[in-house]
Amino acid sequence: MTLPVPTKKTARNVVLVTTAMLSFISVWKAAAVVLCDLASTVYYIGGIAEQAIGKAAPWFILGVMLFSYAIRALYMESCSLFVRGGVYRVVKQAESALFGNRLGGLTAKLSVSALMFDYVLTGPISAVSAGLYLVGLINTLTPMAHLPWVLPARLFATLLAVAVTLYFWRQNIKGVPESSDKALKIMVVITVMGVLLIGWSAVTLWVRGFQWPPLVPVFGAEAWGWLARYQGRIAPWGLLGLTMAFGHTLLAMSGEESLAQVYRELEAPKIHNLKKTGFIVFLYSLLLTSLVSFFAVMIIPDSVRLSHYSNNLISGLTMYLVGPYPLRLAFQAFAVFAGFLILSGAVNTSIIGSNGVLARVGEDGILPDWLRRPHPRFGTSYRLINLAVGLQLVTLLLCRGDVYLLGEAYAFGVIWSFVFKSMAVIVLRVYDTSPREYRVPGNLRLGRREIPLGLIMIFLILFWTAGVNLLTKRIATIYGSLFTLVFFLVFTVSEQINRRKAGHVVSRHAEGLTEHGHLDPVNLNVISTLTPQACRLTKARRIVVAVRDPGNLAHLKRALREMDPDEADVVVMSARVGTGYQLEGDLTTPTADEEVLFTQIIAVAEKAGCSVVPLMVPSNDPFYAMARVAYDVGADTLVVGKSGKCPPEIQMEQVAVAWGAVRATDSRPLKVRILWDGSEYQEDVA
Amino acid sequence: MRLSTSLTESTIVCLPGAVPWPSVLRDLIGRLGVDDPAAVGSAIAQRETAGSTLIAPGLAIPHARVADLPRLAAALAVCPTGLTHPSGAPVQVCLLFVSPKQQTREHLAFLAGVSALFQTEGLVDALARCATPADVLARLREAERARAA
Repeated sequence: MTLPVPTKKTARNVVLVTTAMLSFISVWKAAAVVLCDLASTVYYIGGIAEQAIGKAAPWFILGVMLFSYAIRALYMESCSLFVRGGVYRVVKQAESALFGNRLGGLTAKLSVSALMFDYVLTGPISAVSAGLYLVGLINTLTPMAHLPWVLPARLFATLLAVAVTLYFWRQNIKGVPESSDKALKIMVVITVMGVLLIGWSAVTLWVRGFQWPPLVPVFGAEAWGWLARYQGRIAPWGLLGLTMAFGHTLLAMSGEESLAQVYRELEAPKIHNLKKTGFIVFLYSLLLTSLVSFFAVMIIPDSVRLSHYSNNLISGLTMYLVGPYPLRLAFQAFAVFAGFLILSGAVNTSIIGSNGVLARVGEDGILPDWLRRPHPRFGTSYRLINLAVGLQLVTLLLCRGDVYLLGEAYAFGVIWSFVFKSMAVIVLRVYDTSPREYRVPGNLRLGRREIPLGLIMIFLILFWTAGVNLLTKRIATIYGSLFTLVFFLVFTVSEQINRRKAGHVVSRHAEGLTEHGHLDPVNLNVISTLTPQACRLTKARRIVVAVRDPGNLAHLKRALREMDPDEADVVVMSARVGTGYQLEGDLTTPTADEEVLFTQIIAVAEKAGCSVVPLMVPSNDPFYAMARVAYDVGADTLVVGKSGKCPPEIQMEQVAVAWGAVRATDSRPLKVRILWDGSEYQEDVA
Repeated sequence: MRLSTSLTESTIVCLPGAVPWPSVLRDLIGRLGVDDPAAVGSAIAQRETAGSTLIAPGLAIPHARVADLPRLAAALAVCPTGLTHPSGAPVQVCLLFVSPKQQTREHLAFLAGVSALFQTEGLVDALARCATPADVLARLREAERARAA
């Protein structure tokens, strides 16, 4: 092999690649993000559910929380199939398996449109609830301070909700890691509050004695929905009555869908960590939401529970515990403070969730491409965040602080997205027999066939409940259907426009390369001096992985699999090889091949659950570029794939020559690993 | 290992004018003092087929790893007018070396060291202008000292 006549080697300005997602979070942070949504319902589910189904509400809340374990399993199986395993991806895959392209993603668009309805409602219901708790506390305190005024609860709650939403909008524009840090801190506070509340309530019941809440639901007038005319013929303790009650408490489980969102961000080992996350979420929400709902009914007198505390049930609970009044009041203040934090956290989670869902559908070309551009500084998908937050603000203004109205509208999207998802996972069990890291239990083997009984049971329960909810939750059915239809139309029209304009052309090079079959938008930011600080490398070790061919990233996968993400930063560099003018010009626009490569790098990093820093280095010599990057970022290891042009021994020599050229006067060693087909050639070059 | 310690005046040749490339290689192999020059020549030719050893403008480092060699051996040719490499590139400095097959780390370290040394601005031109092997060694030592300082 003969190379061109050598010229002086250069690797000019390095280009740092930033994208919407390349940071990963721990199990605890992931659980905190999900719980900020799921466990926050403890603050309003009791009041809303009791208005709908009476004092039996805690039993049904307990039932819903237990059922959430099955939903956790459903999500784990879908996530084991797809890293971006949200409802859209899974349903679309199942639709393709059943109907090919004939439906054009209709079921996927419908299910994700419905889910968006709940994401848009999660923020407002949480923020309004936070406001109502705060105003409840203030209005309790003002008479004690001899202040003559009473704050208008709903107006105050609406204004506060707007402020909270805007605050988390800004946080999300700045990036997810900061937001998940906050979620974790919030959950620490809420845990302290929860332990105190549960302990104190138990002592109260021990001191005063107690009666269990009745098992039989007593439906409020609104809870019958379109079945009102059959009231006399529907037994509350019959199948339909029980399902109605179950459906009215289903919003206790809202937030479970965030598992799919956080899975993409979850650090390695992903499925193992998702199991842990799901279990933490299940146990936590089961204990907190169910117990507090029971205690509220068992401790707060019937005469005041709904009339005074339907919007701030936990405040009411604190005031009827045993103990001196000032202590109870102080505890109420703490509970309100904690509630304010977790409900605000739910606003945050809803923004993260809706952003994730919109990003996913945007990747498939059913949203305008300009909506998906990353933020020039933070790399977040800020236009999608703006859209989601904008819809939440509109909802806040329309509902004017009525939390029951929001509660009645809620859970439409969640239940239907669960229905679609469970159906899709069943279909994929039949059509995609590839091994899964996790399967929903309860599989019956009959000869060579396997019947997923567990999945089928989950689907039937969900479908039956969703059907009953359609008839009984009028507000949810009307507004949920309208919203779903509007979003569905937006998706469909955008898709048509994109196709017509060919504005979402997927490079032919991308076909079959990516798991999700799209190109991730990236920002290319030129940095004149490559330093660890410029790349935000903070860990003790640095590993540089050189990549070139998007179809051959096995060495990157292996490097990520074998490394300890707590110990080392990984820089993934590719060289834009050229000479003369080819190295000049606009470096901030990726070529078609580079877009595919960056998308693949992101996909591999996501699947491994490891953060990577992608770099592109214009250079006339790829080996020099690799060595330059390794030297400048202070790497101790360089990983490369096997060249198709020369044997590994020659590759190693070329790296040695390049390393000598860049290390100049010092004698820092570099471990070089050439990986291919399960083999490795490794040497230390000094 | 410093390059200057791998060379002696007898392993350096200053060519006043262009000489065919194969002749240069034969001359340098002859100066290595190895037992089997034919095997070394064959190994170097094989290595060159696998990948060029032109590592910088005017600098070629034909090399190979050979079995049953007691230690690394090197020879250097310089030519102010430039030798014509088979690729067509002009070569003013040709460093030929062979190292024991089993000493991979030392082989790579030598390569990296040579590469680092020739980052010295103007070293190739300076060596090419040297009239005697002693001058070449002196220039190399000077460059090594400068880099070590």
